[in-house]
Amino acid sequence: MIPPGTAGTYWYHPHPHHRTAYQVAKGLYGALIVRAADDPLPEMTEKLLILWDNRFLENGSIDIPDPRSLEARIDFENGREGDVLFVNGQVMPTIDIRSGEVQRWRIVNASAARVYRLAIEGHELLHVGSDGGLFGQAIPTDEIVVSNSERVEVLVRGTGEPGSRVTLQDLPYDRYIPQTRPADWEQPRDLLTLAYSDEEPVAPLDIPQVIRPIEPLDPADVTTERVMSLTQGFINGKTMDLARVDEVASLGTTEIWTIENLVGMDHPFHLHGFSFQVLDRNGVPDAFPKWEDTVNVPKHETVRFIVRFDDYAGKWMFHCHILDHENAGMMGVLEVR
Amino acid sequence: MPSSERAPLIRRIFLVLTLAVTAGVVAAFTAAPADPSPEQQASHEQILRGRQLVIEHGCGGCHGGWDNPEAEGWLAGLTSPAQEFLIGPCAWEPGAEPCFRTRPRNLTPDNTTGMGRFSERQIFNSLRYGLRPGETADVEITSNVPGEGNFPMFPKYMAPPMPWNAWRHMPDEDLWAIAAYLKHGVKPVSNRVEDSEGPPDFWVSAYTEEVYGPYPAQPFPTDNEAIPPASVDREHVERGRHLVIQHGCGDCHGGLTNPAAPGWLAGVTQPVQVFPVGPCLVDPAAPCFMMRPRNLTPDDETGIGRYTDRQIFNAIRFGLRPSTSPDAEITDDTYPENADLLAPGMVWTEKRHMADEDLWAIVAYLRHGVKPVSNAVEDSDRPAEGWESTYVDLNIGTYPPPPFPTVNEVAR
Repeated sequence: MIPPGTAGTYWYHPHPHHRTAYQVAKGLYGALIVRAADDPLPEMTEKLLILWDNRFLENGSIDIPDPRSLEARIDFENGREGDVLFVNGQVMPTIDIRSGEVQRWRIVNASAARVYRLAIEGHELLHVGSDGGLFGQAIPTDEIVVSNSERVEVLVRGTGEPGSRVTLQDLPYDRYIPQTRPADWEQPRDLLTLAYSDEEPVAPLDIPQVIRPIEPLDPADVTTERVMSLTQGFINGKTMDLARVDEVASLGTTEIWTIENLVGMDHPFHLHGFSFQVLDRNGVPDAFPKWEDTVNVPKHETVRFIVRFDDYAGKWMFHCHILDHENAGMMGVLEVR
Repeated sequence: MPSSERAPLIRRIFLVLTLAVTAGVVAAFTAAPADPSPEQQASHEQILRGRQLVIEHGCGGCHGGWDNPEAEGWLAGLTSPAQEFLIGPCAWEPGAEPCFRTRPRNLTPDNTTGMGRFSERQIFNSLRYGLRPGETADVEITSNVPGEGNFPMFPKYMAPPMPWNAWRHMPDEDLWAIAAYLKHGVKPVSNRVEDSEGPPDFWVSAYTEEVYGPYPAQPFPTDNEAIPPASVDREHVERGRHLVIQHGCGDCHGGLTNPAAPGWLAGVTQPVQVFPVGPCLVDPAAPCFMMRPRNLTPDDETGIGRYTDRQIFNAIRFGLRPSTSPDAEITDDTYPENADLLAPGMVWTEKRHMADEDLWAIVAYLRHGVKPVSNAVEDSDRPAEGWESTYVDLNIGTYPPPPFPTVNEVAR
């Protein structure tokens, strides 16, 4: 049974230890949409956009370097990025829109390492959802950063002129350590074309002020706090051991996890099995509660989230979702019992 | 020159020293299993020993506070861009490539900006193997082969000028003591230091055994060394040799940390060993004082053979130039009225804190354990008024150091 309140955009991929990055690089991934029977947004055109990148040799095969090479080392540090960017397996596809129309885009970052900073020139986006479904309210923004494994829901409003064309771009985002920062990291990259039809504009939809009220978890209920210190390839100085349980939590309890990134590179932290609510980033409270299962922890920053282990006893992984880091063991085991 | 300018200038000395050795550090060694040192076992004595080692090895020279645990910013890492080091030819030639900036880290036990989240073993591994503590697993390392015995498949070395290639020669218990002091004897200071830059191989190709010699060092005596006469305690001489290696005397005076290397302690034998001190390090158009490390071999004409053991001792303990200082025990009464001090390139302000017996051991090694090499080194440049005011401005602290704990330290 799918619990009420968990409607949202999810994705799946294989997770064998040390092999995940390779298998995702080969294309083993997909999206899973859970729709709410009482979805609060008005009916509108919906698009699913799975973002992915890859790198190829001249003969068209996937470029996975010799593990002893400097290139492999750089791939390990940065995570393997590709110079070919795909949306739903296509390079620079086109999405049609009519002037005045509002579209609901569900976006999945399925890239091993590339973090997308999404923007459409001249278009203010309405950020309405994340990993755990819709927000309480829409957030107007010019750009949205989507780290690895994160999902976002965005309302794209057709504010362009009939017949015009604009581009969804991935803008530069410096998530890198200085030693291996790519020389072309400041290069914006095009993802897709948004093509306006020649039709007359339609009247825009009304977007409700309140979309989905989300009850914040109460820190007063917290019984345990944990710290996860992230360094380059390690969580709390350790790498993954399938035979080891790193953390034990009690079923039904509420905890606060502090995720400290001690190094100069972003690490998207992902917890399996449970959604959480970010409390604050570097001590600055998040503006409103929302559900997530992945949170990007920027270089040298600290994020605290609150999580309730209200079901699903068993062993769950937590890890950096840069797949090359996960492959190398930047991962641990949480047992809920 | 205002004192505020002098401190960064002197710090940059260490940069230039490093540039002389930037070719690398050694990744090859015979790894001795390290004794685990659970953090709860750190004793007061161990912390005090670690403090002593931190002071005499000059950690504060780069990481803040010089040799003075009372100084502001003690071990708190870079607090001003002037503390950055330029690594590469750009240090001499503006705009030259490659050019990397090294920024000394916060060594205090602050959780998010310092060493607080790193274990003593990670700190031990950083000093013994040069591995960046935050990017190396908290495990005992038992091999020097990448991917084996917990030695990383892709070792990530600390950026020059961190002189771990010398520090690694310290005994295990000394490295554990330093780790204990940093974790338990220093107050945490929140000071986030921007990451150092470096090549994508994290200096692997730079730190080579060919440049820095093996770990452990070759047995005594190498071809550059002499068997001491029967009248001299050989154990004392070998103790001095160990100290000379672990304090990196050869980084300036020749041979780096390898007693078998050409030019071992023979002073300047190649132009790269000459380095500038002075306002030119901030303003290329300003004057420079060129430092020319001396010949430390016991050659009578060109080396330390000209001086007495006492004069050499006094040079390290008090910074007194042996050629112009008396052959006498120095006390408050006998300290020269117009002291002629060694140039700041010589890090006597930290070495003075070594125990008497350690300094005498170094003297014994230089006198009896090294073969004389005839190599006349031109005098270093110096200001007409000497260097004394520079040391005052640097706030190098007192000798002996202030009692533990200072305002920057914490007793358990």
